[in-house]
Amino acid sequence: MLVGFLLGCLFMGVQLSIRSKLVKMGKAKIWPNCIMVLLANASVIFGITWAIESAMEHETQAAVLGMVTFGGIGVVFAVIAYRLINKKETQKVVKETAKEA
Amino acid sequence: MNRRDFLKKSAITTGATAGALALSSTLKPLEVEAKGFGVKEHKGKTFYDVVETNEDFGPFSQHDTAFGRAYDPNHPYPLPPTFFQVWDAPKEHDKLGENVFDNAMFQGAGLNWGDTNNHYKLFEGKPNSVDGELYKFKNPKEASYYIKRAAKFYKASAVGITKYDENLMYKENIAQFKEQGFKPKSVIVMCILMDHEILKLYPMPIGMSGAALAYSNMAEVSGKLAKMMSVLGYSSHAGGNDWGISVAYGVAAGLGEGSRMGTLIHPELGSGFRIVKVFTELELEPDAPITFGVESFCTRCMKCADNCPSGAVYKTPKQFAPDTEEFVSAIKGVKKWGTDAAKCFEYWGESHCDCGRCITVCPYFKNDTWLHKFAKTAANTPGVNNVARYMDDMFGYGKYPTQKTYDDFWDNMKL
Repeated sequence: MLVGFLLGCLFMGVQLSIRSKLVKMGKAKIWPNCIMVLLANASVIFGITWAIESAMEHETQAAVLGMVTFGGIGVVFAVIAYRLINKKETQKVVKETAKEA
Repeated sequence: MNRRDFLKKSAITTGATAGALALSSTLKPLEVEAKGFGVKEHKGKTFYDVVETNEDFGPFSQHDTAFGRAYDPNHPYPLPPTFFQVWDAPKEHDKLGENVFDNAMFQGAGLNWGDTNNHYKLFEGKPNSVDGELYKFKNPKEASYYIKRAAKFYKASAVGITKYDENLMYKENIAQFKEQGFKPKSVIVMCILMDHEILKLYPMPIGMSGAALAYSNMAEVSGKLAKMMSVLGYSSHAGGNDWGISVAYGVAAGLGEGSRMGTLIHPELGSGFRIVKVFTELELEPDAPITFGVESFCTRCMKCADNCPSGAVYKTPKQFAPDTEEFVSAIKGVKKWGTDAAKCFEYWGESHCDCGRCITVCPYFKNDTWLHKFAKTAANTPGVNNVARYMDDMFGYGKYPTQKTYDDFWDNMKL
């Protein structure tokens, strides 16, 4: 129960901090970025929770593989999110440069 | 909003709605109502609507069960006496999980399991005599409400109710009920969870302590409920493995689905529990049978068949058991997966315990925690159930117990 509550707090904390960063960058309303960030955060937190629950059941292999599998999926989402954010940035800069030219 | 945004959002909304509709029609067909996530309750249906039977289906003789054959040397197909080594033969105290302490703990756990499980003693059993004035419930629904809650109070892990059905009874017991003038109308079916940690030690003899403890609890829970019914003025009879076929009654009472290994699978308790029944003359509202994807899962999984030390769990599809020596102990006239009772019992003798390896390797054998609920739900999703067994193997569940497993059992016990 306590573990769930703390991980919920962690999830919200990470989500809000990333969101505030996106707001500052002016990209909080670009929904593919938000979804990818959310999926990445949720997958990593899910992997951590899975690992903790499995460790509590003394299922070491399940704990390690849970972390690797779900955490790994989270990393993939995080990479996609990062690239999406930067790709948009590059395109915008290119477009603005073209306009100025 | 410009035209491009409007079209984009309309397309997304339409796609999401279509997806949700397609998913809901897959998970929740029109003829059933949902009971918990992924569990379908077949309202207004009975055992015969969810299990395929033919004209051969009827009361089965308890003498033809594996226990009956093992106890009766005059049976045309007796089972080898190796079965009795489980309890009577000298123990090998140098064998892992069979030392003096392990054996003593098993004996203690099974303190009163004979009260519901000593087959021939129960043949002499009598229903609880009425011990109070008749209490009249407003209707069967109200009666079911209170009886179910009382059962949970007595520590039943799950409870369901069905109508008394002679086809689900053992032949000998129907006659006995009639001799005693006992006319049951309803059957209260209860699940008693077994300790998962000790069960993981199967087929070490210490694993039996888990089953023995559950049998003791079965006697207590069913005995208390039968006593309560008698105080309410209704004659009732508690029974463990006797009287009626437990798995069939479990299916009829909406507690789960039958599996490849022949046991009942409950949507929350999984495979690691025992079944106990109370027959009563009180009219109760029956529960509807449920399904939650066990049939399609067991068709593909085969983990129990792959891990059975004696090869007693068949990999063949569901069938009506033929009238051959191999299927003497199989209930006739019902389409189900097959097991070889003789092979299973021989192994009980060899391993000095009642094995249960099939139960513990089953992917449904998990603690009732959110992560396993998540995995069970995922396993019921079309497409995912093909890989669920491999995921279960990969994650290390159901490994054969070793010295480390044995040591961990003692070390990890919370004090």
